[in-house]
Amino acid sequence: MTTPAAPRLKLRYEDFGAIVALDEPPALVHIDPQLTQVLGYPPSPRWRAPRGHLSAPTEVHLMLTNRCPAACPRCYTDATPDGAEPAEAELIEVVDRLADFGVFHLALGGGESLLHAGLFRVAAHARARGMVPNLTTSGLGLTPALAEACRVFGRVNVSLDGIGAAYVSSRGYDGAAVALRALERLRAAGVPAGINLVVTRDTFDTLAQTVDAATAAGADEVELLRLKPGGRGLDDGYPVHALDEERARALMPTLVALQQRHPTVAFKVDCSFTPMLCAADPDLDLLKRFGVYGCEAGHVLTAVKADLQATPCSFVPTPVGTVAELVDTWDTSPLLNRWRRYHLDEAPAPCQTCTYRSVCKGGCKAVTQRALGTWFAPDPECPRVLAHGRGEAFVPVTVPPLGAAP
Amino acid sequence: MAALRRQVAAVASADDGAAVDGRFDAVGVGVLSVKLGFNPNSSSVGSLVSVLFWSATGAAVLANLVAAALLARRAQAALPAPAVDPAGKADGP
Repeated sequence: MTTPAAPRLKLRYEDFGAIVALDEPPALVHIDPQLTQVLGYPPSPRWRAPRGHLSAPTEVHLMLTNRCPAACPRCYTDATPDGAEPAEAELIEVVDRLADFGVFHLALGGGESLLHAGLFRVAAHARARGMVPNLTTSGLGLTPALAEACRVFGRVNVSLDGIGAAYVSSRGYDGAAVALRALERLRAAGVPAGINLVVTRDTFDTLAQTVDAATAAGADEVELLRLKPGGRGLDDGYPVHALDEERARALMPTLVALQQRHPTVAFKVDCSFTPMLCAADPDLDLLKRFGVYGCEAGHVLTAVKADLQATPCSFVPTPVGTVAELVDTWDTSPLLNRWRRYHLDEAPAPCQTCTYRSVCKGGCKAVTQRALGTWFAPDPECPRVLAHGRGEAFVPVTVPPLGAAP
Repeated sequence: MAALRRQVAAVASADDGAAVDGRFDAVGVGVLSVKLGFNPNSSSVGSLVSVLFWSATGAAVLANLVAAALLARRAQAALPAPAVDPAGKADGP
């Protein structure tokens, strides 16, 4: 195990030039070969022999434990109070391999990651190896002392799907007060903190109330996560809870209204929501320039589960292998390459001719797999796909300008 | 991050709505894209949609700021070797 000092600037060669990691502002910047050389780096042979995909994931989702006391009814990892977890030494080895691979960011999750005794040492080791660790927590067990320790993370997001009944509808118990207290403690400790909010029909209807409470408690970022079927969520009435078409089309107008209400808060959506984002016909160039991603499983992101098997994303049960095998087969794995190239090689109508195919990449494959029994088909909840299925012309969602009165 | 957002928002709000051709290319030379923020979520990758509400001018300002930040780092210190160069191990500085 080696722990060299973190470099001031981390750069990784790619087909298009390079990716540079900045801490302030926190960003991954894609730059061209010319700027790469202006920064003092020599040309890379990779520029003459492009491979068509990144040299490594930019971020890895590392599941530290499958232990969690909450036992939420739709937990996508099927976490339990006595769930399995890897030893600290095994996690340190994984971190070393990912650092050597060139990964920039780690998203640490579970289960409830705070339960892993080695959490902060693993995070500190990731920092020492030049990566930025980030954390998602329910807030359960986040004492003021642990909140102070969370300064090792680039960002901590607390799971908060709603307040009161909305929280209960999503997670089966009322943990909103715990989550809000965790946000307050993180704010007091000076840790950048936000919320992850799983959007269901119930939680969508109370979004404004939830965001109001979260920001009052210190959240400066709100990330909306689409409900995805996995773990216990496969059996818990997914179609009843997932957004219906009307609400899916209302996502972007709702985000505009939330941004107007909270102008200093950063609003994010996860990759699975990209079809709904694109339903409002946003500027494609702007999406690309700001790295708005659709399905990037096995490419921009890769998951490592609590059994230390690597998969294209957290919702895919089929492993690529161990992390060492992931690194060895990154360029050649048929599984990874199919995930990366689906939108180019296989996507049928309406994705095949969709303006946003290069960004959206066919929508969320986890949702598709549950509905259609295959990972590789158009996302059945995409508003464009729904209109196509009915034989109708797609009508884009109208979004009011940000400055307009709500 | 908050300061950056304020800075960009201030410029963007002064935008008269005129398109800025080339956006990043026109000013943030060599910056192809910028993925802002960290992603703590371990089940998916997040995208900042707030930026889609910015004007073209705001986007150009961001590119300029990022390019300036990179060049400032270059000026501050000798750069480390590239973290990874799978295509050629021998060409690091």
